[in-house]
This record gives sequence, C-alpha cells and structure tokens, in this order.
Amino acid sequence: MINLLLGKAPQLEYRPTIGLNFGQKMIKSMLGEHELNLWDFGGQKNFWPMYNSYLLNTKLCIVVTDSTPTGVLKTKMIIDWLNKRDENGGDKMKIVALANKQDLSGVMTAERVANVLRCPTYPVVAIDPLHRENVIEILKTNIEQVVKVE
Amino acid sequence: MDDILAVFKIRFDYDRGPVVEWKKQRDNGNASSLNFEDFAVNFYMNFMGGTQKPMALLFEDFDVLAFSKGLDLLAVFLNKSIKIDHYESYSRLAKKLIENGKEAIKIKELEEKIEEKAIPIELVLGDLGRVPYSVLEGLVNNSIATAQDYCRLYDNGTLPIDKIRGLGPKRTELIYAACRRYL
Repeated sequence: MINLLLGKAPQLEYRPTIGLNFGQKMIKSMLGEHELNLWDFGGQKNFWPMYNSYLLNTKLCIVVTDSTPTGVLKTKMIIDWLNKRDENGGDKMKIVALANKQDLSGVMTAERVANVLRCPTYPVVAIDPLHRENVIEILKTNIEQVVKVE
Repeated sequence: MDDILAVFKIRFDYDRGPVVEWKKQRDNGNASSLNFEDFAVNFYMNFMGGTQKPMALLFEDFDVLAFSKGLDLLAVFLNKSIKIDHYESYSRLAKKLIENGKEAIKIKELEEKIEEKAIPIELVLGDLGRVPYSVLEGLVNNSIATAQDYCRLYDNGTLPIDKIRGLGPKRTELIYAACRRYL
C-alpha cells in the first residue's frame, strides 16, 4: 500500500511485512497541506504488542484487509484489539478499512466487509496503479474529517 | 562449538508472525538468565526486516549470528568469543540445520541405528555447546541424524535421549544415542 501511495512499482509477489515499513507523503486537502507519516505494520498477532509504541498520538488508522472471508475475520480481530486499546485509555483514533484485492473473484464486497468490521470501508486493488488516486482521495477525505473533529 | 549458548529456528507463521519452531538452549553460560524466546520476534525483525540484513548482532554479554532461508531464520547465540574466521563453520552448521528440516530422518530409522548397549559417557545430550563440531559433522555425514533431529527428539520427548558417545577413529566415529528405554 505504501508503494502505491508513493507511486512506486507495485509488489506483485506476496511478501509479508516483517514488523513494519515506513513512508512519508505530503497531501494537500481543502484544509491545507499535510505531512503524513505512514507506518505499515505487519498484521500477524505477534506484532500487535509493538503497535502500542507506534500508535501513540496517531489520529487515523487505516487497516488494509484481504477481502476473503478468512482475511476479513482476521482483520476483525485486529480492529477489536485496537478498539479495546482505545477503551483502555489509548489515543482515540479513527479507524478506516481498505478492502483490498477487489479484483479477485469470490471476494466480499466492500459493503459486506464494512458490515463485519463495523468501520468505514473502501474497495481497493493495491497492485493496480490506477487505484492510487482513489486511495489518496480516501486519505484526504478522512484526514479532513479528523482535523475538523479536532 | 563450546561457544554456542542457544540455537533457535524461527519461522514465519502467516497468522501469528515469527514463531520459534524449535530451540536448543544451554543451561549454563553468561546469557542463560535471558529468555531468548521472549526476544524471538525482535530478533526476527532485526535480522529479516528492512532492506539491509545484518549477519550478526553483538551485545554486551553475547553475540547472535543469523542465517536465513526464505522466511526462516536460524539464530545462533554465542558467547562473546566470536571470530570472523569461525563464521564459515557456523554457516555450514546452520545450513544443515535449516535445510535438513525436522523430518530429515524418521524416528524408526534412528531407532534402528541405536546400539542397545551404548555406554553412557560424559557427553550430555541437550548440551549442544559441548558437542564437538567434528561430531556434529559426523552426524550429518553418516546420515544418522542431524543435530536438529536430536534437539527435536529430545525436546518433544519422543525419544528421550540421555547421552551420546562417539566411538572409532576420527571421521568414522558413530554417534550412539542411548534412550532411557535401552539403558
């Protein structure tokens, strides 16, 4: 996803995120220019404890999920964990989901994914450069909402 | 090989992330108070994350060498005596430990190679650091079992080996594993 946002060549072969990756991007919205620090975390359970350190003062958390039923259920566990963290005094942050791999047959639609995850969900194909602008728009929209709330 | 404090094979599980597949840890040594397993995820990230992967990490009390194959990582914890010219030896050992895998030899096959009247000597299994390198080499070359097999069998209790011994001239020595049931 970071590759897509930064306009780099997509990674076609699946390689799990080992721990975390990082990227920076400037985005202009109606409210001004925003410097985004993009932290890409591995979703595997053993990485979850690490999230706490990096989510400090985070305003917007974007969860990228496979749109397969199994993938969505695993992602649901992550979102539940993040919500619980908020309830336990963590920083309040907005959670948005990207339902990835919408180009594959048999996957759940973004609407169905949203019903399971109970958060705003957008359809994407992260390996398709044509989706880049779409993802940037999603970012802009949600950044504006977060900034307005503050 | 006296320098080895522990050996950890860490694999990447697509649900859980880095997990310790098997381990062998000495009871003594400066770093014995450390629970390496607690640091498995951190070590895995240190060695496998990012674009430039280190070969070793040097700590105050111990060093860690890492060898990877695909998403698998073998971490070898050493006393503070690592010398760069030993790296090749460790690398050969690690390659065998990674590549031969847990199922390199069947338990039945191993049992057939056990001499029933093996005489226990001071070489204590479970103490990988005390097994001379030549013996480990012999294990592999004679296709009896890899050190990993011994570790696995010892750890899961399937073959509770207590002691091993070496016999015969160098390079042709055989390793006899004496199960409790045979003693």
